[in-house]
This record gives sequence, structure tokens and C-alpha cells, in this order.
Amino acid sequence: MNKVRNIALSGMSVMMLGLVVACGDGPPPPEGPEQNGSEADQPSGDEAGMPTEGGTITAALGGDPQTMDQGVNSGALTNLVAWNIFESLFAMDEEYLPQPMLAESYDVSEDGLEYTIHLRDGVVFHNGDSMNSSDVVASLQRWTEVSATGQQAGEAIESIAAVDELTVSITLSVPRYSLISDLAFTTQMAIIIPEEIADEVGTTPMNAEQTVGTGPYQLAEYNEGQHVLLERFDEYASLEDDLGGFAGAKHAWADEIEYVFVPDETQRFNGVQTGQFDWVQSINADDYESARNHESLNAIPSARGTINTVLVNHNESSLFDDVRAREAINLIIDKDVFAAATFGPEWVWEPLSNSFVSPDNATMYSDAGEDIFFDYDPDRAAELFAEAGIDGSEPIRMLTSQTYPQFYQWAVMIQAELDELGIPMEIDVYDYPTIADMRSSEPESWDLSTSFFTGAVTSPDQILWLGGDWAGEYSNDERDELMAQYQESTSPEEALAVATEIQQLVYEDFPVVQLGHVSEVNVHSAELIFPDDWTNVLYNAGYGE
Amino acid sequence: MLGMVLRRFRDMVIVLVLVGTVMFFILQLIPGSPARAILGEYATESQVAALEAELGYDRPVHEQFFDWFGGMVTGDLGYSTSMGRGVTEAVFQHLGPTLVLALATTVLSVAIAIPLAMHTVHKPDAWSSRLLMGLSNLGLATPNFWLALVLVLIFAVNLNILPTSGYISPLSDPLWSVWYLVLPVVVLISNLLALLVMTLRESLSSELLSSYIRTARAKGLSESKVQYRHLLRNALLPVITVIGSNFGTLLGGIVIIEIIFVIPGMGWALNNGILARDLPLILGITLVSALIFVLINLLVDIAYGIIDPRVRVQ
Repeated sequence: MNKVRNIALSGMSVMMLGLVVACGDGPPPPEGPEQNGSEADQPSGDEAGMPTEGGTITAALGGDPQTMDQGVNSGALTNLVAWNIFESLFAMDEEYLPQPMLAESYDVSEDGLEYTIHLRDGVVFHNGDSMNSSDVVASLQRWTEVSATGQQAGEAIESIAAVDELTVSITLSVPRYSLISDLAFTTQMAIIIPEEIADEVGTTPMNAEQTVGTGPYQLAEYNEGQHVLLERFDEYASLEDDLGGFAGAKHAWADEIEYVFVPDETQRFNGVQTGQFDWVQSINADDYESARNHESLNAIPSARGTINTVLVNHNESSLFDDVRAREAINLIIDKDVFAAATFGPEWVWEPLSNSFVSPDNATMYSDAGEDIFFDYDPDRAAELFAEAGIDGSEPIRMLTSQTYPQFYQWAVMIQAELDELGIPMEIDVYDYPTIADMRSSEPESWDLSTSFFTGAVTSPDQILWLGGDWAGEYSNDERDELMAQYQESTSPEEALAVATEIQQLVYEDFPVVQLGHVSEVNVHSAELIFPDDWTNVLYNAGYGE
Repeated sequence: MLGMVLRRFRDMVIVLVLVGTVMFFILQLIPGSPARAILGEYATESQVAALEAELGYDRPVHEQFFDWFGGMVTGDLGYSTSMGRGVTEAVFQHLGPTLVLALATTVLSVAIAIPLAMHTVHKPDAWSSRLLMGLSNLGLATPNFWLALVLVLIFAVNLNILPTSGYISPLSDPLWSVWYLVLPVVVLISNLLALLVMTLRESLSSELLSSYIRTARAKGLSESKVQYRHLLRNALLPVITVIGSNFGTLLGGIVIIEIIFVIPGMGWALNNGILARDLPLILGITLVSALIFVLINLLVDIAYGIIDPRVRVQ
């Protein structure tokens, strides 16, 4: 069957005529990055002055998002567009703290089981209707069904009810410390949409006509495969204070934002150099230096980043069911060498962080396990492999993709290290949708794989590979206890302490092998002014005088 | 002639049924779920399974096939999850840009190739003819995607006189559309023009030795009449085959060129469909491509008959 499938894949590959070379689409990078010691000596928004109203921002995405429904879709292509359209009750500020957005305020009962959320008055949907508690109840119920984070929160939620026109109560069966952070989380976000649309779409993604939010821009046109045009929503009720991140005031300086889809990274970079595009989603890391030195461009390590990761298969069919094998993989990877070779210039990753969140994410950042992260000891790795029964008689199977060139580079570098130990590794290369599917549906087909994850999580529950319902099938009783303990926290300090313990566990049990954090760079025209280095947030970007 | 046309239509139906059936089952073998494409790569397994069930992808394959086949017979190619509309509508929407690209490439290539080929035949030893043949070889050997990126670098990035990518329909703005079409058409012409010049040159050279050319000249016909009315007409037959098959290929979707230049044609849609595992869309595009190939072959055969009466008799 595998042969047949490979033949079929080969046939498709021929049809695509080497598409991989030219295209480079696939899984959109998980949401944006974060600054890494913002050493960029280019003008930030503050230095360049305030934007003024008017103009159109032409932004080049790596592909067609297919849907604007970021409640359902977890990819960056959808998020990048939809952050302008939708809002949630709470939003993450520049310090990763949840701040009221559509909520005015909230109260928590003493036992932590009853949340009363007061809604802002005067919030209007793009269809002209005013937002009220029934819209919020319907939206949150949908969130508990369609979002991974919502489903986890839903296990603790007993009921969601409208108290009055502008008040909603959420009753929990067990405490959930991260509830407000969950409501502010930006992947499969808890978007608030009109009740009738929530009922109509159910768990399926919204289509263009149903794309109605409360954000500063509304969908004017979605021509599938070609472009998304957003226009300023004149009735948008902005908050006043600038809080950074996704929270606070949303200025909507530009009259319109047009997202065009340019799969080829080189062409995105070419387009922004010539002024055809004002902003582009990630480009090839090899072009970062060139972009940084270009007089008409800004290339700033963006706020938020991704954690590069080697996924490990814990399925009993895999050689890496044994923790010694997982530890050995960590020991053969010299993290600084990997980063220097594949992450891009030093200013996007140095100093290399071992945390499972971005370095400026104070809600969960910790350097626990740093010594293990940087430990490079091939001799010890050889011993551990031998103890785990990996003697080179059968190859390790790496599932990777060239959709993101660095994925394949990591695989080749690991293969070289293993080769030094006399252990062969087969690298199976597919397009990203294929490996994403195979990792889950064919657990017997792989041992290692490659991916990256957002560093903007604000609760361990939001880290997918820590959960059991994701590729790799990681399971650990101590993890379960710590995750439960985290949700019982009563203060940020207590929560951070538990998160630190979880991170330490990650370096003892190796659910995955982390390679380090890297900032994303969204190159943009120097004329486009951002208030800070959250250069994914276009609703607060605009042109100067 | 009518009999041939009817037979070709019968064959066309058989080809379409076979192509559709084979493609349907081939696509079932390809890993990757349309639900995951919709939900994003970070969706959990249970979310993917739930959406697959909702979209009907969890049904037995034969059930899905009969549903799709029944729809195809009645002209309904299904619903494209990535395009958010019916497949038929999506395919025809994306056919327009590819048609513009294919027509511009073909018409310009033929218009340029004929005089160039005639020149190389009549002055085979001239330096210009040698240069042309060298350039033709180069055109055939140069990969399209490489040439595309080089031309973008020169004319868009360095000289900034052409756009790096994009597409405007000639119906909405004819002048601007030309500006956007220049680079992709030049890239596609580089290959087709070279092929046509080489083919036509060979054909013209062999026809030049034919007795009817000597007869025409002996009758006192002017050289231009000999060349264009007799020589070229007979030499065109193999060229028509080349034009036909290339036109079919162009309409089937010039994937790389459409992706590099962001032209929302059939190749672009096919790429999106494959990445999104949008099986109905992939099937729809494959079927329409097959249909185009068959129709073009039919047109080529009819053109043969018009140009060469001997074909009609046969």
C-alpha cells in the first residue's frame, strides 16, 4: 500500500513540476514572532513618527487563507487577516497579559468557579447589529466546540449563560486559572460573532458572507485564490489606551488593507523591494540581511516568535517510545550550531532560548532545563541509544517537508550526527499537509518529525504537543498532575512556578526536543509605520505625513 | 469529416470517464486531509475527524465515488472547499487568466516563429540564421522558472520597469493587463518560440526539395507566392500539431509560471487544490484539462483537413 501511495505521490509530484522549489506554501507559520533583544537599528514606529489616516496597505501573504474564520482555523494565514476583523472578550497585550477587549471588566467568585463578565456597551458588528450577551454566549459555546483551547476549557465549563443584555456568566465545575488567558489566546481564538451566524455555521468554518466581526476592518471582498480586501469599519468602537500587542486602542490608520497571495518567498521579497507590496509575510532567512540593509525597507525581528522543534513519536511502534532514545537525540544536537546554520542571522535568534515560550513572555518564560538543552555529548548519546536498543540495525524514520527549507535542513543535520554514531536515518520528504496528516493518522510510519510552534502561549494547555490529542501521543502521569496543578493556581507567581516545573519535565522526559526560539521577520516598507515591533498587527500600521 | 468528428466525440466521452475514474482513485491514495487544510496544521486529531465526518470524507470510498460520478454525469463537479464555491464555477473562473496567457503566448510565438524560420531556411549560412538556431537551442534548454526569476530580477527589481507579479484581467483594464503579462508571456514564449522555429525550419527544409515547389517556380509564380501559398502551407502541418499540444499544455495549467507570477489561472488553482487536498477541485481541473486536450486534438485534425485536402480524402 505504501508503494502504491508513493507512486501516487510521485505522480502528483510530476504534475506539480517541482512545485516545492517554486512555491513554499503549506502550513502557515504559527502566528508571529517576537523581538529578540530588539537590536534592530532601524526606526521603529516611535522614531518614525505617528501614522496618519489614509492609504491602502498592500500585504503579501504566503498563500490563500481559505477562510477568515480564526475561531476554527489554526493557521497563520487566516490569523494574519482575521486579527483585523474579529475580536474576543479579552486580548493579549505586549506583555502577554489578557486585557479586556469586548469585555468591560470581570469578577471571579471566591472559589474561582463563577466568572461574571461585563460587556462593553456600544460595540457594533459589521452587519450593523449591536453586540449583546446572547451573541457572546453563542460564540463562546461554539468556541468550546471548534477550538482546541476552547475544548480544553470546555471540560471545566459547566455553563455559559446570559445574565442580562450586557453580562455573561461562566460557571466552572473545577477551577481553571487560565480561563481569561484562554479567552485571549490568538490561535483558534474565542471570536465574538452574531448569534445567528454562530448558530448557522455551527462547527464549520464561516464563508465570506458570514464573516462578520467587531474589529476595526471589515471584509470588503474575498476573491478566493487572489486577494482579500479589508476596508476600515467606520463604526468601530476603539478603546483609548495603547496597550500594545493585540490589546487596547486599534487605530485603523489605512483606509484599506489588501492581502494578496504570493507563495514564492523570493517573489514576496522582490515585490516589497520594488514597492509593489508594503508588507510581506516571512521571507527566506537568507534574505534577512539584505532586507535589513535595504534603504527603503525595515526588517525588524517582530514581537513574538516561534519555537523550533523536533517532534518525537511516543507510539509504542516507534523506537522513541523509550526516554533514553529521546534524550540521546537531544544530546546529538548542538543547538548553537543548528541555529547558526539554519535559523538565519544571529539577530533573529541570539541569545538562544530553551524556553517553550518566547523570551519576553513573562507569564510562562523560564530557563529551567537550560543546561540539558545546551548539553551536546555524542558519546553519551551513543550509550543511551545502545541502552534503548537502537543499534543501527533498523533506520530511524524522519518525516519532514521542504515546504519550510529549515525543516529539511534540521533533518539532514540530525542524519549527519546519527551517521557519525553508525545509526542510519531515512528522511521521508513530503509536502506539509501530507506530513501533518501522516503524523496523526499513521503513527507507525515515523519516529521523528519537524515543526515549529508559537511562543505566545499563556498556558501549558495551549502547547499542543504537551496534550494527548496531538501527533506524537505524549502521555505522562506527572505531566497530567502538573497541568491540573497549574489550573488550580491562584496567582501569577504560583502559575509561573508550576509552568517552570512543567518545562523542567520537558527536559527530563522529552515529549519533544526543542531547538530554540527564533523571531519572525515581516519585512515592510520603511514608509509603513508601526507603533512597536508587533509587525504582524496591520490595523495599527499606517503611513506618515 | 463529419464521421470523424462524431467518432472523436464518442472517444472524448470515454476518455473523460476513464480519466475521472482513475484520478478519483489515485487521489484517494494520497495522504493529507481536506479537513486539516481547513482547520490549519495545529488542529487536533479529534477536530480533524469531526470536520471530515461533517464534510462526508469519512464515508466509504465507493460511496463517495458514486456520489461524485453521478454528479459529474449530470454536469455537477461538486463543491470546492478551498474555493468556497462549486467546482464548475471555480474552474471556469480560473480558466480565463490561463486562456489569456495561452493565447498571447501562442499567437505571438507563431507570428514571430514563421518569419524567423523562413529566414533560417532561405539563408541557412547567414550569421543571423546561425545565431537564431543557437538561441533556439538555448530557449529549449532554459528552465522556465529560472528564466522567470532572472527576468524579474532584471526588469522588476533592478530596472523597476515591470511588476514582479500580479494579474489584471484584459476585460477590466487592457493596458495595465499587458504590463502585468509581459514577463510571464516572454518566459513562456522563450520555450514555445524556440520549439516552433526548430520544427518549422525542419519542415520547410524538407518541403523545399519537393517537386511541387520546382513546378510552382517553373510556372513563373513569384517567390513570395511560392513561399507563402505553397511552401508554408504544406510545411505547417507538423507545426499545427506542436501548436495544438502546447496550447493544450498551456491551458492545462502552467503551474510554475502562474505561481511565480501570481496569476490566478488553472495551474494556480490546481496548486491550491493540491495543498488544500481539495479533491473535487483537483478532479474538476483534471477533467477540464483532459477535455481541452481532446478538443484541441479534434481541432488539429480538422485543421489538417482544411490545410491539406489529402487528409479529408483519407
